[in-house]
Amino acid sequence: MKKIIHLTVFLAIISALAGGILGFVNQITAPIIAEKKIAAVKASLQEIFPGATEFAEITIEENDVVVNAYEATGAGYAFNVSIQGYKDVIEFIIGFDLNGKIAGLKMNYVNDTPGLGTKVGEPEFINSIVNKSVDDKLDTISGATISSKAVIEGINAAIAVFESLK
Amino acid sequence: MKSILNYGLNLLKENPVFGLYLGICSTLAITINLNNALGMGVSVIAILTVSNIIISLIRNITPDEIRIPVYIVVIATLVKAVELLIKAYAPAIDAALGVFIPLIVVNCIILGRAEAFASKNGVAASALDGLNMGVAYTLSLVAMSLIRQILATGIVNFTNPFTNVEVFSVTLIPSQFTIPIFSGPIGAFLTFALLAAGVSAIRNHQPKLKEAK
Repeated sequence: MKKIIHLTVFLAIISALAGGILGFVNQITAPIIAEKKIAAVKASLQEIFPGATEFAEITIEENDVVVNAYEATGAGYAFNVSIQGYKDVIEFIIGFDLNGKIAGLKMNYVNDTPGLGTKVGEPEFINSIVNKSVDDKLDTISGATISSKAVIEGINAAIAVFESLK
Repeated sequence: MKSILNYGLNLLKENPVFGLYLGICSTLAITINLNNALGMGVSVIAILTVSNIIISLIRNITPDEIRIPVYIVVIATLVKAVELLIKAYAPAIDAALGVFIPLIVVNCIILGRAEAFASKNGVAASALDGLNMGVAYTLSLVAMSLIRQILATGIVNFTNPFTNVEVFSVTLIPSQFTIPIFSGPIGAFLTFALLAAGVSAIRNHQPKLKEAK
């Protein structure tokens, strides 16, 4: 009996020490990690919100499509979206200003059929979306129906999150 | 000079990867390029040395029955701490190595040295053992990664993981003569098998050299 108590207490002390050390390291590194994460997307965010200077990552409810959310102080919100396209995922950042207008769309990863699905990354499609209101209907591209449908579905998912934030 | 040579031979003989066949999973997976190999190697050197020191320090008070759980807690703590530090200060390494940094916890080299050496020896000797094993592991990774990177891409380059500035980049093989398969799993197994065979040959050859003298 005495033995088992000794073993339990020893392992508990070791685990508590380990937890304490990790808590300490986490406290030092957490703000730096958050800053680095923002830095990676900051260029894109700056492009979407040219006037904004302060960006912060915000936590949103767990979502299959909307991966990250960012707030541009005083300018709007941006969302990192990853959605299944025709043969691979499509990743993009979409920003909404505070009036509910689409402020910018930046494709980060498109790997669908070259010449067809990749049309979602071309200016023609992006310009057809930017400056629309969140209530407007967005048009797909003929010849790239599945890819552009996926992007619009992703945008709608981001709009849903955006509406819940307002 | 002779001592350096002896040290090198010992690293070969007691090499954890090609001599003891420990920690091969990560070796095969991450040796695509020199950057990954050095990032992984330096992380393992740090974790192995510190874990050996801590386990040696507590070897007399650790109850025998629960030594393995205690070692795992120590190693897991160190790995998590290193993972957080890498995420904070060298995100490029984190992006390249991904899940293989947390997987250092189950790298058998570290638990193996804790059980086989640090739990029975003094602090200084354990620290040295950890350092030596870590260096040997790193050299194995570097050897694998150089062969694979040169054959697969023809280029050797190194990027400072803290600043993302390229330190050097040398093109050795024109791109039309490269063998891209070496960056894939098949190339990893081939390179590993050839290097392991080479190391075995050297080890088997050595006693005969001594007899000849």
